[in-house]
Amino acid sequence: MISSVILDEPELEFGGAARHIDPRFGITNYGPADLGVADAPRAIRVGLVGPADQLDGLRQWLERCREPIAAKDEKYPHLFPEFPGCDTDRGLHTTLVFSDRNTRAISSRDLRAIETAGQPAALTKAVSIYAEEIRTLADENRVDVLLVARPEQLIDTASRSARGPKEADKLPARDTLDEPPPAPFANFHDLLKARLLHLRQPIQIIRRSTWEEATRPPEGHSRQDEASRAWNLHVALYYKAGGVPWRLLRSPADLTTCYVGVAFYRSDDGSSLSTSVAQVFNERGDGVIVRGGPARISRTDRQPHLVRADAHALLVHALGAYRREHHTAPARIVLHKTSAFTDDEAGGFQDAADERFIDTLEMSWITSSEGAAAFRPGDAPPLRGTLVTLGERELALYATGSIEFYRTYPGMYIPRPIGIRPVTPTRNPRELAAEVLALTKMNWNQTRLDGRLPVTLRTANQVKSVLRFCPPDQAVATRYAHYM
Amino acid sequence: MSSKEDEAMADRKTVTRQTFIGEKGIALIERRCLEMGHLFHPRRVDHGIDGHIDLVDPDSRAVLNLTLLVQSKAQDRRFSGETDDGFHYLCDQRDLDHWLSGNSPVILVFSHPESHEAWWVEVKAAFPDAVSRAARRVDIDKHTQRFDRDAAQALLRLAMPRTTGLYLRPASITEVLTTNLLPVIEMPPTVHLAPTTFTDYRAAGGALETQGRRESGWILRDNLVLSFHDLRDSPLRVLCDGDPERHETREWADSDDLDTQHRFADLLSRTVQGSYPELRWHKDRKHMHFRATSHLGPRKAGKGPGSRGRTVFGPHTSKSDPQRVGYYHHAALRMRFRRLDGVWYCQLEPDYCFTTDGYTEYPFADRLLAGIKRLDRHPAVRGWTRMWANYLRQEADLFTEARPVQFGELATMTVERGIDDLLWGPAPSGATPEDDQDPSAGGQESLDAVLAAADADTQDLLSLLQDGESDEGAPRRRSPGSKARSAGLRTPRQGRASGARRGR
Repeated sequence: MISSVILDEPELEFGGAARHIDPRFGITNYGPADLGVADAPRAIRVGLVGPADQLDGLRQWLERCREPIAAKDEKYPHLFPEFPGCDTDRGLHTTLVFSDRNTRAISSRDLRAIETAGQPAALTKAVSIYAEEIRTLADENRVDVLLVARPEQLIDTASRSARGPKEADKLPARDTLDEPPPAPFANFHDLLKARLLHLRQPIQIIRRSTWEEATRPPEGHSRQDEASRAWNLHVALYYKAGGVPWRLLRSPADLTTCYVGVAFYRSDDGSSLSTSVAQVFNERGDGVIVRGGPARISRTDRQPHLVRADAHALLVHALGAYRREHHTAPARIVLHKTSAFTDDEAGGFQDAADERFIDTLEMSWITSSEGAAAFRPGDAPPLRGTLVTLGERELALYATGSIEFYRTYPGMYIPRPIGIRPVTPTRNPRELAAEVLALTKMNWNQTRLDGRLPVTLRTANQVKSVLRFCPPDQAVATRYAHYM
Repeated sequence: MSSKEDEAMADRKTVTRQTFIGEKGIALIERRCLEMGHLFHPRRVDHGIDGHIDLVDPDSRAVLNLTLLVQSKAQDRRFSGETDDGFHYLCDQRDLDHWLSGNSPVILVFSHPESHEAWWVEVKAAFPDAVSRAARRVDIDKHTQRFDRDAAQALLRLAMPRTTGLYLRPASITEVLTTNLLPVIEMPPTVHLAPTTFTDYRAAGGALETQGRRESGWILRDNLVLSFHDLRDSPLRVLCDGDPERHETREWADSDDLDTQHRFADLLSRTVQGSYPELRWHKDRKHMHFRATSHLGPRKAGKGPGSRGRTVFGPHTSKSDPQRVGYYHHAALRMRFRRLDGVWYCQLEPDYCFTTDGYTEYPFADRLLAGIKRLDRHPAVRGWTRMWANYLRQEADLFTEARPVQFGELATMTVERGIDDLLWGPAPSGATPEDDQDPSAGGQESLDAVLAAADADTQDLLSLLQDGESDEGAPRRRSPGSKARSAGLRTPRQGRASGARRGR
């Protein structure tokens, strides 16, 4: 029997262990989750790199953000709330600290060189020039976050193009999460991050249109209202500086859990080999990225799979990274993967858990292309949290959809559910899905209460696009903050 | 009564009839509030406000510290202009000023206590501007503005503060969700299979052609040909390279072996594709779509429960030259057969196909599809899904063979939480798409740019989606004082785009 329930919107934890479902209202009302904790960033040293004419304006705007920024409009007060201002007594309870020694302007000669170079040379040139400046700055003194103003005229080459069906035919049918970018796709963000990964310096790249109303966003980019932009930027900076904006709700009775997402990416050489990558998170959202062994595209289901030994090694490394980062071993592992589990993979992961004496290992294949759908009688699409139990091993979860708190569906396209397919038949689909739903909120690239994918897999795309530009022997076990 | 008695009574204190009616009106409000799950407190001293409602969270029963002020207007005679559908009321200027100047929302409750009827309106919504305030007149719709249990949600929404971030669970409304899963209720009892030397469909199809017959509903797998048709006496004989075997369909349908399941799903799929002569299989797009009509005029199909039928094929004029047909649309469907808890379902995914002449694919089909993806809304997809379900379930007519695979009704499920659509707005224009959303929806360009290149018009595409809209009228209730809003299709603001990763 196909059945359905509506899951409650998961609450998050904020300052003083207070709860709310929405990151922005949670922070405004209660402060960030680590409020008052000794190592919470009370002052964030911000480095600035970019064209001289942008640095002044950017700094001015950030100064302005110390004060509240009004909400966008009347109609959706919960979806577009005001930004409370960023200072030690409000909002994130922190200040951004600038100093001239931590500011480096890209010379006008260098900017001209970037402008006059043709595509795609301009991109590589820009990345080299910026990387050099950033390295110098990072050598001299330590900043918590580097804010990088993009050269204005620079265009990213070949964005992820629309794939026609003919092209799709040539590709193996697989989960969209794992689709290799069809065109050689490079952008300033990914190239620069890849180049500087070894610095272990969190970087935030920013466009002029983000802080200057008069500048139009580049073609193909929309712009949110000013309060929303301030929200998104400040939360990202706070997270990158080591802060904990919000965390998953945990009752003391819950086991400490390590969330692992396993995804695959293909290098650009078009081989049939993919590389596996694991993203390891705890309930505070601290993430560590571990690169694993190669995966082969299987002939039966056309998805990438690991051999037993590589699956085992990947989870062992992931647990090692978790221990190094959090100085403790988890009591429970939740493992999400973007492709089906072969017996080999399930066995390899289980071996690793047994070896480390971790009793609970829950494995699910999460697919973003679940085809089952549900329709409501009215105009608004199904509520976020609509869980459809298709069978004991197949669930469809609407992680995007209508949201009671916003009184609307805040998306552009029709929401589609994600598929959750546990390896072992689940006795409690509700609990399993509720955890996935909660994990969709752990996303520091935005501040809305919803997200389509759990953090375990959502980061996969960003990590993959950066790692593609890294030599295979580089970059293991680094903080997720260095990729975002 | 005799005049003597009258005189005797006049010496004693009396209660006016009006007082009784007023008290009954208050009692009625109190009872209705309790039915809604809220609390009503009458005021001891009344000057223009009779009492207030303390709002309660229907789920947790928590008192929310939210109040609404209430003024009761109870009458046993008719209100001005009263009919079965409504009436109007002229407010006193001083009352109106008083109600509008406060810090709490004020509602007026009009009632006929004798017949236990009550209606309500919120004063600010009824008098939104100077013109309406000058007129002082409020109109009540008796059908949509009843003061009863169903008003509980609307009262909550009225009182909800805008900025404190108070959140409640979705309303406990029982809703029936319809899936896109069409159960198979009947299939042929026997699967026939035989060894074959053919390994690809093209060659096998060619061999069939030489027989002068076309036959559908067979698959090739691992040097076998499989079909629900009896291989001995069907044109498929030419494909066999040995004696056919017969198997019980159940063996295949119920198998736990994944490979067997895939094979069986493939057989179902090809059998269904072959049993609807009006549909054509499109190899590249991997969907079926309606063939063009012989006269290239529009055609409707899929009439049935929940759908008045939709235009499944039709011409569209060119944007640059309205005298010319720019392209034709064909309703299309991607099918996937899957077994869930022992039942086989056909999963329906509506799609569209665009041609220049009813056959050749339109060169800008991809752009039109991208445009459609941007314009598509929940009711449109629901409508197309219903249309396809009705169409696939139709009895075969005299001219076609009985269909080997028969379908039941779309699977539905009931949930206990829902939405009062009338209290909701459409997706706001500032909504940004998810970074991981479908990049093929052409989010990099404005919608008009996408469509201009395809020589197509946004309105025209919209009409395709809205065709047959209002298939099933959801009950229309208005919140008092507000105009019924259609939260349906709107053209999204142009120039919105996706792909911008937030927080960079």
